Amino acid sequence: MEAIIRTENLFKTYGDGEAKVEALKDVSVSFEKGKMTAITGASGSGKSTLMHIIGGLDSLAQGKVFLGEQDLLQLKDKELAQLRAEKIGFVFQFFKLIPELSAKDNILFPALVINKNPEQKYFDNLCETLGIKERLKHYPSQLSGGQQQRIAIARALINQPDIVLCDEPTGNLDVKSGEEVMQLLETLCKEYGKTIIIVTHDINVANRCDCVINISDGRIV
Amino acid sequence: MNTDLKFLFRYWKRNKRSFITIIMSVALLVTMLLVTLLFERTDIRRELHDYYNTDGAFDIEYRNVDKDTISLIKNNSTVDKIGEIYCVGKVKYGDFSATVGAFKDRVAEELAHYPVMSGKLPECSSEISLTESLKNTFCPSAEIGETITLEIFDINGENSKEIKYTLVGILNDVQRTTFEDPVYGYDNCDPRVPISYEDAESFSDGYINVIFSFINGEQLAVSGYEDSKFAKEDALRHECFERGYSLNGIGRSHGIQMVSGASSEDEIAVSSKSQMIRIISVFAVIISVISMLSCIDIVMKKRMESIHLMRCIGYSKARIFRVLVIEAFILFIIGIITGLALGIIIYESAFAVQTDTFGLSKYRGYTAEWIVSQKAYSPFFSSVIIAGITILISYTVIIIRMNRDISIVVSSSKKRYFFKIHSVSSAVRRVLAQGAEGILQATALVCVLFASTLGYLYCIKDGKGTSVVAQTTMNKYMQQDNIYEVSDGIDLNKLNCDCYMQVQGGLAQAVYLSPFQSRGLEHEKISELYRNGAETVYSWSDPFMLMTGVEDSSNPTLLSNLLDEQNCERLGFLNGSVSAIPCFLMNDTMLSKLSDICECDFNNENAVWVSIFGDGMEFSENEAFTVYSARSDESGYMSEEIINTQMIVSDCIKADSALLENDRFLCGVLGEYRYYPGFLVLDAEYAQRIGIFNNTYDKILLSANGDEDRLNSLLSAVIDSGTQLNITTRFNLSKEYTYNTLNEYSTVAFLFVFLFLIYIVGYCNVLKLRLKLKSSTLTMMRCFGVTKNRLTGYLISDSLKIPAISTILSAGLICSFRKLLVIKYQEYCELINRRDSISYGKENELKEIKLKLRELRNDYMLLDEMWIPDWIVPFLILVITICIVSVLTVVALQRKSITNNLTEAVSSKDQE
Repeated sequence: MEAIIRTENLFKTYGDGEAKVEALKDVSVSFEKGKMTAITGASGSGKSTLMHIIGGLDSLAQGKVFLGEQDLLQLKDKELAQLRAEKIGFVFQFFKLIPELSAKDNILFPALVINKNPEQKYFDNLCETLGIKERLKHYPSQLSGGQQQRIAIARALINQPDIVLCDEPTGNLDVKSGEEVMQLLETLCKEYGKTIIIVTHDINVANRCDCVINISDGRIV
Repeated sequence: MNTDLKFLFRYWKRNKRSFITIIMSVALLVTMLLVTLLFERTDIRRELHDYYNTDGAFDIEYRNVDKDTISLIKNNSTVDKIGEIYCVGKVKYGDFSATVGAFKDRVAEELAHYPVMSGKLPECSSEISLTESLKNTFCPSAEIGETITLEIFDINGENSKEIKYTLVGILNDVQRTTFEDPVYGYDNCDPRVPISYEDAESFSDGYINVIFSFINGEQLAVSGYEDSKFAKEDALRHECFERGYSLNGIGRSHGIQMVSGASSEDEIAVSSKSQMIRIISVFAVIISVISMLSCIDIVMKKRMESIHLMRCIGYSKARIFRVLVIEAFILFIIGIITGLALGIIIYESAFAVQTDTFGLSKYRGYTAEWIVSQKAYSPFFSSVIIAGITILISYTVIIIRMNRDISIVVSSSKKRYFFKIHSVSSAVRRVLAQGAEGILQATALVCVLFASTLGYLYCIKDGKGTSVVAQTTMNKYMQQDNIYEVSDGIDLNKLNCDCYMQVQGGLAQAVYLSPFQSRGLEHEKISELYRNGAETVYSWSDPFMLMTGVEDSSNPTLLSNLLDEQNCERLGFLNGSVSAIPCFLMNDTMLSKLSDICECDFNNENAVWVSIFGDGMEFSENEAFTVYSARSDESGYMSEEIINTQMIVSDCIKADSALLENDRFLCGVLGEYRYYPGFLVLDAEYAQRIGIFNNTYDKILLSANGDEDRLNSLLSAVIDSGTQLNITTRFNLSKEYTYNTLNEYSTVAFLFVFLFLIYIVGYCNVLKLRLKLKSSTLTMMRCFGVTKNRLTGYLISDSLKIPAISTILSAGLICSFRKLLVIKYQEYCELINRRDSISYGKENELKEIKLKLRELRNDYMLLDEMWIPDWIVPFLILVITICIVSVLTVVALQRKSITNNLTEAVSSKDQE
């Protein structure tokens, strides 16, 4: 299968001197297109760091990160921003919805960034699939955790990105909500052909993925 | 309790910056208020010192003098003697009135400045001594020992009763003299006060006027009023000062002014400078309070979650309330201490720079004793109280909010936004929306812009020379032997000439006779004259009194008396020299008239101009007689004389708006010397005859403002006469004006700059806090494709929103205020024209106009040229500065906290 993202000899270091931490040590990994891949590891193993780098959130690393043929580490901030807007969607553990915006506005926000007007049909379909149609006018503070995460997923998908990066998407949810979110992600992967990369320490979540990458102490195990 | 405190300290340790920000906002409020109020006090004390024109220093200030205060003063070890005069009432004659005073003891000492011409001073309540002029008014045919009846009115001039007195003495009311160890020194009391002795104990309706006290030959003057009937609102009127004086003199007592006939409607003007400082202090309070409230509000918004969490884990409302109270108290104490320390440091530093740079008197706005005695009004207490109230309000709001929102945990929001976002910028605006806080910030900025523009305009006003400006300058020059740099024209340093001519406002030229222009020097000189055998010495007011007299003040021939060679003896000579000469402001037409009256030819090419420049005057083409009005307004008992004199003068004299710089003229000295410049145009021969240029003068300064030919022709007669003159210095007022303006208004200038800077600091604090609060959300937006620069752009435009709104509002406010002042100034000018055109005999109308003028001056700080249009320039400078500061702050903050913390932002749980 074609790799949509791959890294080559990726190193990431935080701090210096005695506080120096090598978060990633010579990580070379690839993620297949259209698959749901889990990155697992213990706390502090470097899995979130890897996700941030392949998502273009952190470009201060040594090595190469290819999205298609583009080396993300060579891109400038503007190009990275463009990339994030068009090709990558993010789902965070703590939802990270904008409290001052309604659910609908939160979902549409990434589209505004690239001045794109998503099709109404796509939007309705997305909301229908995620079960959030009745909650579009509510504000994040008026939604449950599960609902917020579904809003976040909708937001991640509004620009129809190729890749969806999920950082502990069920980490802040109850079992039932977490199960619902995982089912949604599976649906997105299988029916919409999205590449889903999930960072998790939950073995049950990892087991539902097509592929599992284990990181330990900054290295792929 | 220990747990609560530990929790509190740990929380603040973790959130050090927020903690420091709140303390800084409290400290800024206290600092701003303290500095402003201290400078206000300093300025008032300086003004009062200048007003009394002494070399003394204010040590203690007593307000609302009562018997206890008098006891306090009496018990003061530095006070040697103290006198009291009771005001029995007033006697009236025609439109004038005089005061009947009763002295409790040491009558002879109290009345030493009224030499007894015949008879004696009164010794009991049925005896009276009158000044010669009053005796001639009330009982011209009465002899010593005869019984006279006076109708005595109460202090308000209303109810009266007839009292019989035995006339025991006639006093000389013309002479003002100082002795080596004078009782009163140079005194401005109503010379026509009849004196009687009355048993003060039986005087139940009295106003205690504590007058003079002495120490070791130096005079300490304490004058004040027991306030029972006078208007209470004018604090200056009722202040009591303890001053140290040199032998040179004692200033006027407000009480004596009051007693002598000023109506209760009269008010002693608070200077425009004090008004401006008070205005600035009001704005300072508003701005500082808003800044502090905003800081606390923003910090506490972020804190609500932790407060809610405390409730979730078991803290009761009361317990949280206690924690917040402790926190508020700690913040208050630290903020107050910091603010007071900072305020004192800034005040002392600015004060030192100001006094050293401009040579101002070193009267601080506080003394330790005053702080204790003036508790409620002390700037220290005021600052602390206002800061305390602000913190109390802030924390009350927090507690109310806490109680209201306690059921909604973590991230409940009741905000409702009614407009859909349609762009990233509108989303950012929504995130950064301020609501009530934005209104507060806009209000603060409007206040800053308005106050700063006001202060700027005030400081650069074109007053065409003001009394204090001129006086300060002249004093400075006269007291120094330095040769000053000549700005243009003749280098008088090389001319070795004694005559000084000053151009002021394009109107007057003054020849300054040194020894009698500096107050301190004058009194020394007068004392010296006596010691050297002069028979009589007249101070500046004497010729005025001589000139108007009492009997027939409308008689212009009195003017000729002044210039009569024989009468010059009465002006006071020492070794043939003249010590003081009054004169008038005239144009050529009036010169001719005066020439006719005096049968001297002043209107010729050889006329010698001698100007005796007093302490300065307010001068403009249209207000040649402002000085007279001002004097009459401030000196109730002098008003009649001045009105009379002005009537005489106005018949002969009119300041012509077409008067040119080189026109010959006289300038009149009327009333007290310290307010009036004096110019005398004399025939050259006459000038020599009376020895005007006798070389007993230490310094005579000459400047013709660059006109060498004119200078030479001016002095031709003098020079030709062989009199040796030495020019020591010269200055052009217009060149020096900027310096003098800043000299005069350095306090106002400093305060408005300080206010502006304090606002900037407070504003940056609030900006910083606001951005920090929203940094997580804004950073997270970058995850969805918002570039760094785009986000910066949105933040910059958001930061300019408040300045833009405030600019429009404050511009509107300034324009409206200006419009109001223009209207009032037109009214003012109309009144001036009416005043100048009033003919002799309409004193009441004149008085009414002068009162209205005074009101306008006090209420609106009207000046000769007011609120010139270029307020736009300083206003724009302020606006641009604020915009630049906002932008730089935002750029610096976002660069630090928003753009670099993407991973931290997405990983953290931190939600607003």
